[in-house]
Amino acid sequence: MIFRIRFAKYGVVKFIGHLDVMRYFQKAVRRSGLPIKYSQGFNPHQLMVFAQPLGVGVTSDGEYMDIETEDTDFEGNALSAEKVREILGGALTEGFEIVSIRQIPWQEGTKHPENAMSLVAGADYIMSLKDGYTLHAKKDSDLITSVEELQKKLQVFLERDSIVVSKKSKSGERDMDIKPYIYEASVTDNDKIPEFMCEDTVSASCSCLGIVHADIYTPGVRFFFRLAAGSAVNIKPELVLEAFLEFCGIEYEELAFQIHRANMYSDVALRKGL
Amino acid sequence: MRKLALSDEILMSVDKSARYIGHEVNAIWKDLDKIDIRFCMCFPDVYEVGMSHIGIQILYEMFNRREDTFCERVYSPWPDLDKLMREHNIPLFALESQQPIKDFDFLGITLQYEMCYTNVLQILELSQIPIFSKERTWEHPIVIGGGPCTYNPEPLADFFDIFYIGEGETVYDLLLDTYKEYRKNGRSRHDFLVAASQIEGLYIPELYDVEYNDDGTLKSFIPREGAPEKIKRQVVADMSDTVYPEKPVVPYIRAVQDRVALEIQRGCIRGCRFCQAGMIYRPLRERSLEFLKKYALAMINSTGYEEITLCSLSSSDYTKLAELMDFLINEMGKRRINISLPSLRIDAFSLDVMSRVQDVRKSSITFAPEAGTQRMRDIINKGLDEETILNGASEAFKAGWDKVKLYFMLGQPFELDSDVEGIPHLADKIAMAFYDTVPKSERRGKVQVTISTSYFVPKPFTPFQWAAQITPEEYLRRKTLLMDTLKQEHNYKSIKYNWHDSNTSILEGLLARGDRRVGKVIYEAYKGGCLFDAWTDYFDMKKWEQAIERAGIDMDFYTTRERSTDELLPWDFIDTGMTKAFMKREYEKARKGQTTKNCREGCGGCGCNSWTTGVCIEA
Repeated sequence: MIFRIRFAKYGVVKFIGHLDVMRYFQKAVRRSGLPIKYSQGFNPHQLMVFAQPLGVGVTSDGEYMDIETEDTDFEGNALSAEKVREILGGALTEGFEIVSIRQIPWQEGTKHPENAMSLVAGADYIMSLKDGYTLHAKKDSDLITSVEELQKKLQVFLERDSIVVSKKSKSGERDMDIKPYIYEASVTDNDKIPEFMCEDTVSASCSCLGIVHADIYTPGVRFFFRLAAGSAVNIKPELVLEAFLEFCGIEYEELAFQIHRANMYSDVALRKGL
Repeated sequence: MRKLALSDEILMSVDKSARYIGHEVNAIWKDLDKIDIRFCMCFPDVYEVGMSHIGIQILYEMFNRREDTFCERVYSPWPDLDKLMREHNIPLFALESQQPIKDFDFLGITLQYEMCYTNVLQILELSQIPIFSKERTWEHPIVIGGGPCTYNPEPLADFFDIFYIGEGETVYDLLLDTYKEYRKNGRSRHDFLVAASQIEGLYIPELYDVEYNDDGTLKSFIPREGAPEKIKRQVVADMSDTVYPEKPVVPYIRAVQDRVALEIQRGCIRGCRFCQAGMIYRPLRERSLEFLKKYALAMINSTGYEEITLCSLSSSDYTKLAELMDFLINEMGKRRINISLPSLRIDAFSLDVMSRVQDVRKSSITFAPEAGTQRMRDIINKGLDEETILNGASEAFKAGWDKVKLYFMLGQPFELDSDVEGIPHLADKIAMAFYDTVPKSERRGKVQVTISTSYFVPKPFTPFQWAAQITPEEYLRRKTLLMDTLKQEHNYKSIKYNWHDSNTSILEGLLARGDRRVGKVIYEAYKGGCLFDAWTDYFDMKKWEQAIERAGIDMDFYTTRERSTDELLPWDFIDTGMTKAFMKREYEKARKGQTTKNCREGCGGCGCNSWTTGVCIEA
């Protein structure tokens, strides 16, 4: 059986890097007694796939991993998403939390469904201005004091023909037009959430699981982005924000913003979560 | 959300910030309002090293079983954070509560190796606790040291309020109860230390006056205010009826020992004359099978580790090893938990066990002959002969291994050039055994024999405690002799040679057998910028040399000087249970190349049978 688990990572554990998060979950699975499957070979490893690494210092309500398990638990009871949530959830410690679990339809013996890692196409981010920071204009004439004004500037920024930034990769730096990969962008104060952040729910009201563990800061400036993510094109939110602030004549300070990943999508147009 | 002592900005700018956030799986949290005693346990090295130490996990469990006590942990901040903490005047904090250690009741520092001594001073200074014991008041925690280096605590005497000599499981409760009483009754810090000196095993350095002879040797070592003349080492009588963690703390980042550690026994029967651990943990005491089974399962279930390792000085001497291994292979196999087996003697049994738990092709087998000739192995009383080594190696080759590691020491007492030359000779014979045993068609290339030599450091409470350490120049000469001899061996292309740095070993020699005056060197070295001396990247011999000069210390007096067996030694005030007469006898036998039986073959009369436990009372 394959289960896709959406989990949150928040609080002090935001300082734990991706490889250590993977090791954390491997240990949590062992502690929980979840009947996970193992690969073949002399050093078998758990069948566990993470969708996308999360940077050190970033919090999230939208991490995903796939796990492949036996059909029944050790007592012979059939496993279900609910059961997995109960077993694994009990082994997690503060800062890691299961948001939701669903079983991925799959008939053993048939072709493996695409895993969480290969499905990622987009992601939502929140970047909040942290306590003790202001948006510093380089020139006084560029002073922007209100969120409304920032939102207006953001619209102008997004309507440009191209948004060229210098993107670092393993092979060096290169210029890239990121405009096609910015699907949504908005800036609000602490009280509002942009409409695009509202996740598909049965009820019509705007419920947003993606912001549950996003920390709130006094300055009350929050940027929301929906960006291309995954193995083909992956746009980091700080890249977009830096370009925008540069456009506004505001100095970008890396440590001034808390980044939060709200969710990840397999199909951005359809807002289809993983 | 818990508040961290360090800001996001600092945590985002240092390497591996997860070292400083605490909050790990199985870390303990208590309501601070219901606590009388706050204890901070410290391993003065980086987090990944300190978290690998089983002793702290045992004491952490023990202290936290007390309802009135909250024991937390701290490790050495890495130099990047050290710099920021000084710049921002941030006091060093404990991982659990993230609160400053200076407000604690106790700071307990484990002293596992000499090269961590400057880190001890860093811990004190960053904590904003006065470095010197005499400058502390009730405003500061009681600073207490423990661990193997306390068998000669004198170089650190000025920096500690108390040393706990021996195994931590015994008298801490008494110390904490005394502390509570003295605090409650408004007694002075000095009165408390005097009271603590009456607890067996506790050494309060400020209560002892030291005088020296004109030649620099110790003249007298005299207690004041009723402190005992001899400090009796603490020993756990029943290793199966004592505290052990069921839920060890699991670090988020990979520790050096990233696995469950099961201490199967304490002590060693072997009596190798160079080995301090083999002498100071006597007598050998096994834990019962039931105890080990219970804790192995409990720890695996509570941590989620994928590997378990057996800890002991010589696992092969555990009498029920076969039964224990059957149990572990069965239970751990079911859970896909790997088993690692260090410190096994290579024989048919251990090879069989090893081939069941590890990938033979990837792993190597290890011998620690410690010396290259039988003459020298008799001198050091290493009960291992060439035939056993060669047979073991051949058996291993038959079973599929083709990598062998060999550990030796250079500079042990009475070593001759022929003994040094014996090392590559032995390696060559092992390589030869491979080519004789394994037919060409079954070889996967050459056999790999790796020789490692370390530079022998004489340690207190061993029969070699009086011996001269050879000079660094002499060590390098012997190293070169070994290398030159190796080049002439028939199979030299199959043999690799690694050697240990000479500078750290000579300093280790100074710190291991130093007296109180050596404390000045440590202080000067620390003030001169020495830190993380156990780390090659940070160790700076020049700074140490400058410190030695500033302190006015004669290095040779402490390292390369052979002591008379009549000399009053700085650590003589400690009673380990082993008699000085035994050590003298062993030193004499070494000189004559005579061996002593191991504890199971026959009692060597070391004196530790006064504990009436363990191997001394085995039927």
